[in-house]
Amino acid sequence: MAPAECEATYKVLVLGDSNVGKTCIVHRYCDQTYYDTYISTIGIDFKQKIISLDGTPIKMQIWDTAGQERFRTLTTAYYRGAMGILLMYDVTNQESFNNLTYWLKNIEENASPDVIKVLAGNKCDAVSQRMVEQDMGQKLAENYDIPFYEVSCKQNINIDKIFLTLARHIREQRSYQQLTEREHYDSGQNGNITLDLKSRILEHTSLKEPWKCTC
Amino acid sequence: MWPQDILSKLGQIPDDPNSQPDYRFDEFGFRVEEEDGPEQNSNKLLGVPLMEDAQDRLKWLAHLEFSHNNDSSDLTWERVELRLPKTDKLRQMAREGIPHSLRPQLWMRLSGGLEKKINSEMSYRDIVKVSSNDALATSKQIEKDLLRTMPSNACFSNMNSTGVPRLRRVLRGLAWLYPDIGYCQGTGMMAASLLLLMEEEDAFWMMCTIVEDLLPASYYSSSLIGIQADQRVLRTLICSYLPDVDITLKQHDIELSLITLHWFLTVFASVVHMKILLRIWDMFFFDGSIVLFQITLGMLKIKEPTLRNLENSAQIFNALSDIPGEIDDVEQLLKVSLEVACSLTEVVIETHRRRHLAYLMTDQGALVGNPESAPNLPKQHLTRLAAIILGFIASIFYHLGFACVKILNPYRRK
Repeated sequence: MAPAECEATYKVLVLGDSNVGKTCIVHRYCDQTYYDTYISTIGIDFKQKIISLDGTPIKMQIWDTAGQERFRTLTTAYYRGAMGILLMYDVTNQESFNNLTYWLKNIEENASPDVIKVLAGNKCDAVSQRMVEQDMGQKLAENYDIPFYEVSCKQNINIDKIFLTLARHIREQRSYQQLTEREHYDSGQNGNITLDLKSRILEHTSLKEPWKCTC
Repeated sequence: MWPQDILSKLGQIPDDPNSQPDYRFDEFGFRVEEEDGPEQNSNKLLGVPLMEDAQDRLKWLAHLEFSHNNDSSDLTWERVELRLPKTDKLRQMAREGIPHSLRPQLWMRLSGGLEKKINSEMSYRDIVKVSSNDALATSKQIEKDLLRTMPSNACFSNMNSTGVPRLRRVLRGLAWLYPDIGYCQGTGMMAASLLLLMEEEDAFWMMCTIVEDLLPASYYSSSLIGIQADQRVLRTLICSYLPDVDITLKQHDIELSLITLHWFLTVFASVVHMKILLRIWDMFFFDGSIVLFQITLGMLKIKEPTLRNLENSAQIFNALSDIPGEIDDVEQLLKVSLEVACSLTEVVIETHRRRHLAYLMTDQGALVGNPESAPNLPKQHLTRLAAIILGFIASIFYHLGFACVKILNPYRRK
């Protein structure tokens, strides 16, 4: 599929502590490859994948970041224009889970306020080394009201699913945004057009409660 | 450590998941990917093994003998000065490439590494001893990265590889010596590259020289402010030396530092082929950080015509990221680099640096502190630390009734 045919490009950041598997998930998702060892990421890297979101071609632009703490001072540049964030921890590493609150704070401070987040607990295949139980991740995700999956890059568990969830939420967010922007633009002009547009978008995105204002 | 020695051992390690006995390795111990049949393709790097020209070697030896050895006895490394004077002639020779067999000795003498090693009051052995603590946070971070540094190299591919304990010791030593840096990801790439051709102790002192003398302050510290300033300097230089590239970057709103930060952070160790790296480092150990700018400008210049034909920012971003890995003609790279940056001097860079550092410090407020007042603390610091720590250890042992002499014996373990 040629890039030009894509309806939209979604910029997604993968964040989380060092060695939780950020590079791994990007390669698994975009290239369908898995290796035990990757060179630790310094700076940033990105890969693209074209997906079909309920029949609509979407280009996912996935940015792989460095996990080491000092590189977070550079994150303002990373965050620019990010629509979605895949926040990741390693279920075999308690510290990587504990640091999630730090990451969420960092996201809140730097990312756009309506950025879409999902939480991934990686390496769920490593049963014997597990340190963080699934309900811990679940509880945290519920607290922050973000979707959560345990994933395994090694065994390809939930990888497509989590990115698809992210993409779907980004689409909902964007159509809602466009709608409110349009509404704003149209206010004072022809009301019929606005209505018409609303119903069209409603149909298109199948949002459950598109009119509920969250502010 | 010689990759050849390690290769012979490789067959004896049965359970390495990522390597198979039928892989081919190049002269540096890197696994060779043979999918494309490297001999047939146009890539000069893969096709031609690293060969040393005997004539070149003679030229270097003659130069060393002529300029630094006044008596008529045979030339030995002991007679060559610790630090070679930086003449234009020598610079030219370094740019043409140092014969590979002389690199370990010459890099030490061009960069100031040997001087540092000899003048240090604390030996590498002592540093290794005091820094060998598994429980430190830095040790844990280092441990995570040991196999993620050069996984495709036989010397670093698994925990039994010979390079791994050496890399661990060097990185722990650096983290101990520079507490304001600790362990910074990326330094491992440089250390591992050095370990492929130098003795562990020399590699360590080369790393110290890079951190203290060749690069500006705060390149690796937790604020990374020194390297951030250099990214802005680079951006300014592109504006004047490569206006077309500048326009492209502006038009497509590309934050170049996302790409070039790790080129600078690892002095290209993570991004170019080893054979290219050696030549860049021949220059870097002679001239220092100016080489980062020369080479980066050169790489961008080479890619300039391609960039013009690209339509969207993603393509441009990718094309820029791919530049170092695609370089296969080192002579062309160096030629273009020195041409495009021919008027670039240390003074120009330093002026921009001060300006950008000031901006960054204003942006980041008091969090950062003044890097001028806390540079990466060279030898005085080392000496002071050594004195404090040895004094401390000595006093403990004294109270325990040991003779102090014993602790100063480097071979003795606690």
